[in-house]
Formats: sequence, C-alpha cells, structure tokens
Amino acid sequence: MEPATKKSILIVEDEQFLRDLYRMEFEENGIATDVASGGKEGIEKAKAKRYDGILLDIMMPDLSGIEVMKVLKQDPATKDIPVIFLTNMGQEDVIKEGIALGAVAYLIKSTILPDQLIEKVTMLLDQHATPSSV
Amino acid sequence: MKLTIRTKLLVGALIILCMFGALQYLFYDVTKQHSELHVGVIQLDKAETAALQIENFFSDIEAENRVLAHDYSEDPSDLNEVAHLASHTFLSNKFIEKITFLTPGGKEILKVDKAGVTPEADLSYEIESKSLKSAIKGTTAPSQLYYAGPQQSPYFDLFFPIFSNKASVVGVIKTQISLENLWDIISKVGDNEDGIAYVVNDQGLLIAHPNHAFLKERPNLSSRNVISQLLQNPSLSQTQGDFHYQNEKHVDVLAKAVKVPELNWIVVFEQPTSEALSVVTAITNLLLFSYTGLFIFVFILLIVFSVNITNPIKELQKATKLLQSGELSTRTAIRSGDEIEDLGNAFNQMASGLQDSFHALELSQISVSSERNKLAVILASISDALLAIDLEQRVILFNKAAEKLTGYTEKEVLQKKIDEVITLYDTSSQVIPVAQYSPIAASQQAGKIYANPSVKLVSGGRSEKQVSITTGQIVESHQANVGAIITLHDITQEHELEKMKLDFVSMAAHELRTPLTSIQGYLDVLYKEIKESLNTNQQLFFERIKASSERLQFLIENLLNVSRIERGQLTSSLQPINLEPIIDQVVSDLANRAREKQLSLLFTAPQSPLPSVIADQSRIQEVLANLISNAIQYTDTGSVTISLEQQGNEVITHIQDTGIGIPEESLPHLFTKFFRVKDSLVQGRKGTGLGLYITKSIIEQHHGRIWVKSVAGKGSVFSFALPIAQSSEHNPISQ
Repeated sequence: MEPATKKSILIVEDEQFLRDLYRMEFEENGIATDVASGGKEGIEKAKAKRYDGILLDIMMPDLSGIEVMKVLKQDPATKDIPVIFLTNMGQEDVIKEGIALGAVAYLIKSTILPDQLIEKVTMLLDQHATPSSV
Repeated sequence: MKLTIRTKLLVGALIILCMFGALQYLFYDVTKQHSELHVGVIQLDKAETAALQIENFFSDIEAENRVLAHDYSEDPSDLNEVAHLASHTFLSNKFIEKITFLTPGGKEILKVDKAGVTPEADLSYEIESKSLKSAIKGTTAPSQLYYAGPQQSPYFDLFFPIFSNKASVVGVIKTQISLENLWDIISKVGDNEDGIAYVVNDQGLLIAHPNHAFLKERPNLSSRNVISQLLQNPSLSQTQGDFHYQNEKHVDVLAKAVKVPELNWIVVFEQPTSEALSVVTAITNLLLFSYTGLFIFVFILLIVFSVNITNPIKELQKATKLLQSGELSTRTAIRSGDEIEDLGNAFNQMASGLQDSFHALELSQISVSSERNKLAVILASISDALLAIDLEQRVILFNKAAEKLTGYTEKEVLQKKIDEVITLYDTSSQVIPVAQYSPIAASQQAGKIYANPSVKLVSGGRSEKQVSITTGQIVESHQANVGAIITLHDITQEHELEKMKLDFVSMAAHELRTPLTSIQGYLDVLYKEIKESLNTNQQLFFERIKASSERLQFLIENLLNVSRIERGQLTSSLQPINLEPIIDQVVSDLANRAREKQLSLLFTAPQSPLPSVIADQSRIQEVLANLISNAIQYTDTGSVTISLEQQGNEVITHIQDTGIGIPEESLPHLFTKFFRVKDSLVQGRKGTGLGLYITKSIIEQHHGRIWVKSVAGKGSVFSFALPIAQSSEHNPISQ
C-alpha cells in the first residue's frame, strides 16, 4: 500500500485489552493507528495530528467520549474529522446524543467482531473522507 | 298596617254602636217632632177653651146689656125701673161692677153700682173716647184697660149702644167690668196641666195671669214671639208654629196663642218645655240609658270576647315561639271549645310529630356521625393518598396520606381544581391531561377506571414523587356531586429501588460487555491465526467457547433490553422493511444450534413476494432470534418451521415447533416478565424468562400483535403480526 493513501485513525479507548486488540487489527489491515487511553489524551492527539477518523469510546475515567466529541467539534482543526463512537453504552439517549453531536456512526463493541469492525470502519472512512485527506 | 284582633273587634263594635246610635237619634227625632205636634194641639185646645170662656163671659155681659137697653129704649123716662133692673144684673153677673147710662152726647143719665144708684147731682159727662164713639155709631166696644180702686185693680168698660125702634142710637150703656174676675177663669185653665193660660189685650198688655204679682207689674208682653205674631198679623186667629221663649221666671216654655174675636185679646197657653215635652225627655232618657247600657254591655262583651279569642291565640303564639327556640316539648292547653282549641290541638299534634321526627333525626344523626367518624378514621388511616373530586373536578376530600404525599393540607386544596393541586407525568415525562386520569367531564361512563402503575407526581413544591394512580368514577353521583375517587399509592421508594436495580443491571451488563468484548475479539483473532493447526477436538472446543460467549452476550443483551423497556428507553426506528431476508439471516445464524439438536429448521418462503412491513430491522431480528431459539430450545425432536402470510393490513409470521408445548394454565402469563413455565426448571430447561417479555414489548412498540397457540406435548405456534407499509410511507418513521 502506498504511504500516500494509507489512512490513519485514532482510537480513544481506556480499556487496554481492547485498545491493543483494535490497534493490532487495524495495523494488520493497513490503517495507521494511534491510540489514546483517555479523553484528554485523545483530544491532545487529535489536535496534534490530522487523522482520517477517530474511534471514540464513551465511558472513560477522565473525560467521557461525549465531552471529547464536544471539544473536537468546537475546534475548526478537528471539527471535520469523522468520529465513530465505539462503545458498550447501548442506551438510546446516549446514542441519540452522540449522533446529534455529529458522529458518523455509533457502534456497540460487544455486537461486533474485530474483522467486522475493520470492514465497517473502512467503509465509513471512505464514505466520509474529508477533501484534505484525499 | 298591623291590627290586632282586639283592635279589629273594637273598631267593628264601634261601627255597630255608631249605626245603632244613628238609628236611635232618628227615632228620637221623629218622636220629638211627633210629641211637639201633639203638645201643640193640646196647648191650642187649652188656649181656645180659655178664649171661648172669655167670649162667653162677654156674651153674658152683652146679653145683660141688651136686656137693659131694651128696657131703657121702651121707656127712657122710667129710670127707676131701669135702675132696678140694673141692680138685679149685679146679682146675676158678679163681674159687673158699675152700669152707667149715657146719652149719645155723653151725658150720664143713670149710674148704678153694687152700692146703689148714684144721686143725680153726682152725675157728669163721660169723657169722649174711641170706644164711646164706636158705640154711638152702633158698635159694641171695650175701653182701654185701666186701674182703679184702693187695690189698683184692672178694669175696663164696655160701651153698648142702645137702639131705638127706628134703629137709631138713642143712648149708650157703659158697663164697668172687673178683670180680676177674669183671672179666675184663666187660672182654671190648665189647672190640671203643668201649664198656665194668660191673656193680653190688643196692645199686648197683660190683663190676666195666674201670677198676680206679675200681673200687678202690668207688663207689656208684645215682645213675646207668640204674641207678636198675632199682633202683627191681624188676619191670624191663632199662632202658627211652635214658640219657645223664656217666661218671667226665666223658665224655657213652649206656648200657643189664640185671638178672642171682637175683643182682639190674645189668650196664651204656655208650658215649661220640659213639662210639655216630658214624653220626649223620658224617651230621650230611656234611649240614652239604654244606649249607655248597650255601650257598656257591648264593651264588656268585647273584652270578654277578645280575651276569649286573643288569649288562646297569644298562648298559641307563645308556644310557637318556644317551639321555634327549640323547646320541642312545648304543648298548648287551650280549652276555648272553638276553632282555636282545634288549632291548639293541631299545633300539639304538629309539635309532637316534630319532636318525634327530630328525635328520630337525632338518633340517625348520632348513628350517621358515628358512621362518619368511623369513616373519617378509616380514611385517615389509609396509607394511600385518597382524593375525591366532584363533577367539576374540584377536590372535595383529601385524606391524611394525601396531605403527606403532596405537602398540602386539606384546607388549602378543598374546592380547588384537581390540576391546580397535582400534576402527573407519564414515563416519557409528558403531562397527563386531567381528563385522562379523572374522566368525568370527558365521558359520563359510570365506573370507568383509569389506572397507571407508575406516574410522576409534582405538587406543592415538594420533591417529585412516583405514584401509582387508580381512578374510580362514582356511579350515579349526581346527587352527591362526587365525581371520582383518585387513589395515589406512593411508590417513590419502590421506584427508586427499581431504578437502582435497573441502573445496576444496566451497569452490570455494560461492565460485563467490556471483558466479553475482549474475550470475543481475542478469541476471534486467535482462532483465525491458529485454526489451521487445530485438530478436530480443538476445533470443537473453540466452537463451544465461541457459542458460550455468544450465549453470554445474548443474555446480557436481554438484560439490557429489559432495563430499557422498564425505563421506557427501548426505541425502534421504524421503516419499511422486507421480512424475508431478515428471517433468512436469523435462520442461518441459528442453523448450527438446530443442527446440534438434530432438528430441521425451515423457512418456507411465500410463493409470491409479500409487501414490506413497518419495523426496525434490528429489533425484529431480536424478536425472531428469541422466538426461534426458544422453539429450538423447547423442541427435542421434529422441526421448527417459519412461515409468512398476509392477512389484511398485516403480515403474520408463524414460528411453529413440534416441542413440548405449553400447559394451558401458563398461556395467559407467558409474555410476563420473569415468567417461567412450571416444572421447566425441573426439566432442565434454561432461560431467564425475559425473552418473551422483551419480544412482546418490541412487537407492541411496532403496533403489532403477538399470540401463541399450543397443545402440551404436541408443540406450539408463536405468531406475530406487523402492519404493512403503506405505499405513500416512504419516509422512515422514527419511534
């Protein structure tokens, strides 16, 4: 794969096992993957580098994914990055809130296997590719 | 104007008395007139009698004179004979005092008195007078009255002409007459009566009167009305009308008078008015007396009568007032023997009736109030809030629990509209309209009940409460004006607990999800990496780990779904979908499990394509997964068959199995939360009892229906119907 077309994503996930699993899988599938173990770190990394997409967990000890999303959407530099919520929070109101904040998808971790996830994310990133990243 | 009976009686009596008085006066008046007439006639009669006697008296004298004149005219020279005859006259007529014969020239010829013949030497000439002149002309004429003698007695002379054969006057006889003799005649008149007769001459001078003292005063009485009438009217022979005047003794008298012919004297008969009208006076007195008597009698009668009538009435009035003041034992004792006594008896009956009914009322009131107390104690002791509202939805009852629940006191909320007191919210935080939970005005269906097991109650600034509400409409309540009874059961604590439980379940499920996700993820990755090197057994182990983790995930999802349903957070995004591919997917997902149990799992697709239904794909997937995995679980041999059909506006999905079936008594509870068919545990059947509850909730959210037909031991058919998407509904409907 050409480096120029290699996509890059940021996974914000506090759970180390999952963080490692998802990074491993995405990297294996040719997607450059950075990880953040918390909300604050996620925001820092999101602003530091231009990603093609962000996978954002919601339940995190320092800052919830919803809060992170709000910060990202307020910053012109990050507001256009497609965000996919990847969480086990299945409550309808949270899902609604997430979509309302501008997330491109809301995925429940427990209902989706790693290769299904990569397939879905790749598809979503293609759909929501920003002009600058093309 | 208010008149007492006594006044009315008095006025009535006065009117009667006045009328009676007027009648009596009329009678008196008539009697008086009649009596006066009668007296007048008598008086006139008396006067006439007296006048007749005076006339007779003069006639006698004239007769004597005629005899003497005749004697003289036959032989005027024989004076002795004449004198002798004249002397005899004195014997026969005691009123004659002196007789004098005169020539027409007035020369005295012969003078004879009771003492004898006056000597010729003493004779003289008669003073020429009017009376003499009349006599010479041939008319008998009396002289003026005069008084002579030592007693100054009244006298008068009568001049009588002496006619010759040739009817010429040849001389005059002058007869002196003592009027004192007349007095006797007069005084005899009216002797038996109370009246007197008296005589006046043509000048009005009194010439005869029984009262000699008055006579001697020689009064002229021409001013007396009875006399003046006759003096002024020479043509009248007697008085016309009644005459009253005061006599010399200042006594009021009634009088009549008549004229004596030729002499023109007037005879008056007078009587004291009181005497004359004694009959009238007597009648007057009688009338007055009888009237007074009548008056007193009527008055006494009036008093007795009024006392007889008004006293019982007053007693009745007093009794009525006593009764009015609540003295119900009041009775009257009127023994007047008339209608008032009847009235009194009626009053007594009424009073005793009143007393009886009041007593009965008191008794019933005591029992009512004791009932009411009982009821009040019961109401106060009920731990649920109880509100009664009237037909205008105003609060009319508010028990202690209601006060505690809402923070209002009963006083504050009575007569207030129910929605000013409490506000209710449903699970999706929508205000429940008043008409819904107190359906009085909206519908008059008696006994209609509204019930909601869990609503949020906001009232009076208190913290929110969770309550269960039950509204019972009062049947035939228009009379009592009670519209409905609202019962609020405070489930705040239970609700909190429930919420905590749901929160816990939700949290637990989420917490379980994360490691499960890791397990599944790593398992999947690991399996892919090493599956080539695994032997058949190891392959089987992997499969079983995977199946177990999937089952675990399925259970967790079910728990989460229940918690969503309970919180009202289960949502479905409804849009037109085609059922066939979804069923295909679920069937292929579960094919392994069916195969493991050696069951045939079959989807018989319809001959022609069916229309789309309105549904949420993932939810319907859950429903199908639930129903089909249930069918597999409860079927040991045979098949599980899925089929579709269209019925009207719905597409019906049937899941038919040849399993153990469901006992009939369990069918009604089958879709209830945590319900498990009896003995299923004993039979080793697994399950949380949540699957069908979730399934039913989802189907209901889809406006569909779900039902089951089952024969124990033969198998079951679960069916659900979903509404067909209308061709116009292209837009997804979010629920």
